[in-house]
Amino acid sequence: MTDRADGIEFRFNGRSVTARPGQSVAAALHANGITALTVSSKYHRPRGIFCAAGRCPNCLLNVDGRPNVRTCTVEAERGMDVRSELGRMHAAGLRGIDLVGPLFPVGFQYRYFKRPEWAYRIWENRLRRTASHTSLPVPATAVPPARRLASELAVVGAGPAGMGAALAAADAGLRVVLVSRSASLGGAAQPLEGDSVLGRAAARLETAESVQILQAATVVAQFGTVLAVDGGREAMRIEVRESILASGAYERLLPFDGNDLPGVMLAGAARRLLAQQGTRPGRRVAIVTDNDSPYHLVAELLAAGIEVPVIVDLRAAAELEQAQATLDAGRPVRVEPAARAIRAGGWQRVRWLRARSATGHALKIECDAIVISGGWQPADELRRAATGYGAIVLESHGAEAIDWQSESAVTSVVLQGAGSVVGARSALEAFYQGQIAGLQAASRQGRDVGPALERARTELRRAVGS
Amino acid sequence: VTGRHSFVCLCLDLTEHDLDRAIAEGFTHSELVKRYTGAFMGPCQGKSCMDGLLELLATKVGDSGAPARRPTMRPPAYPVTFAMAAALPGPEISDDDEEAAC
Repeated sequence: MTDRADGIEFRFNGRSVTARPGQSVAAALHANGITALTVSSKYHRPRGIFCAAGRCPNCLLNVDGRPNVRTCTVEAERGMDVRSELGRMHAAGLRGIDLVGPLFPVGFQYRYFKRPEWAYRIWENRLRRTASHTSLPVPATAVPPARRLASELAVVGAGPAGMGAALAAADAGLRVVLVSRSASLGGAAQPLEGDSVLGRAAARLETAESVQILQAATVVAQFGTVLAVDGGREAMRIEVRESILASGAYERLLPFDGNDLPGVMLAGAARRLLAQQGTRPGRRVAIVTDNDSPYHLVAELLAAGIEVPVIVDLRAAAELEQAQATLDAGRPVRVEPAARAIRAGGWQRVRWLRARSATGHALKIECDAIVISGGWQPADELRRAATGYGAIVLESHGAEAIDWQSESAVTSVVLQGAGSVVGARSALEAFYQGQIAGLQAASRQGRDVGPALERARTELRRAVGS
Repeated sequence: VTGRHSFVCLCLDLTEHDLDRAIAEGFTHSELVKRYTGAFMGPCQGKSCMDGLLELLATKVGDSGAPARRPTMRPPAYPVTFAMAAALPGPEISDDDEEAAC
């Protein structure tokens, strides 16, 4: 898939690798057959792309002397020097779980060599050296510049919900800061089609005067009405009146033996690789799931010329009707309901999957990638880590959903949840939830939202089909 | 041994077997599991594992309600470099505040 002519060459552990323009470092490595990117912290097992969204530990590499860079979010640049954090061990493919595991059981660091104290000092140093994956940055990183911003509304996350919130609030007259982790709008719905509800919203946001979009920026903490933002090249402090949390949801993994092998990745990661990076997750991709989301991926995989040998579904056959209806009858895929994934095998990359069918029949499926999905976890960590806002935030266990029937009343005006962080199931549902949250914020701040709120409610009802 | 290669936390190489062991030693509350195993304390801060692990814990311990509570967490919600943390501006200090501090 790589085109040498306009390829971007960079180095990985001294070896030349070619990326396509716009491709991330991790995706380029994966596309070039380098699926084992890092080694794990304790057993030094090979690890590869897992989330492709810059949150898991699997693609942390040293880029131009900067340690632990999340390379699935960094675009490849000509002449980049990318290295494994544990260069030599990585090459040796050291893999100690069977040897070391029984000797160092969980919690061992609290038990071994605690006494006498001098022994612990030696032991601690040794542990640090073995476990540390990196060295100090060379050259030393300069402290980046800082910027202060103020706004009437901050929207955290630029997926469908965030776009809806920012746009609706701006239309109603609020000054809005929209923080996007990725360099472009759309979140998990990327790439956006130009002539769709979301595509048009993105185009309007980019030209909206009262919306300031912070791209490739992450809100790392919120203290009351102050947001701390890591903008990559600058640090930002945003003081706001209100904020909306539209940070989406994280896909969960499924536990089975070998579920960490390079090639085993989340369904969302496979989709991002295909749709955003132009990279195939593998040639033969098995699916293990307990929900519907990977079914929507099957058509995309098949269209890219990827074989899908099996869908191992943990749910009972009766629960699968809706999911199976989404599959193309012309290109049948084998579905195993009420089955269990037993073990994934391979050395530097997954080679096979063993599963047990509902009837107890053992299956062995050859594959070079396994797509897994274990449901969703709301991305509400900002809400949980928020301090300084008293009991409201500390006592709640997650983002508080907007009350979409309400005109403006809420218990808290910081980090109101909208979109999949509070359980929206489709992009449009999230988009209109976001719109309502944005309009409520505008209404609370004295703006006349007119018939927009009722319109958004009607659209939301249509989106959820009720 | 079952679950020795079945990972529930990728950051700190925590397997289902490890979780069983921690439970057998009496660490059944989510706060204790977090501190004993290191779960949710790696680079992902629980973003890949938290709810799945807590659900597994609840099924293993038996549903008494308490184990499924998410452990507390502190900012930053995403890892930042020391340089970035140093650069983050604090509150603007006005002259009045400075006088009050004196």
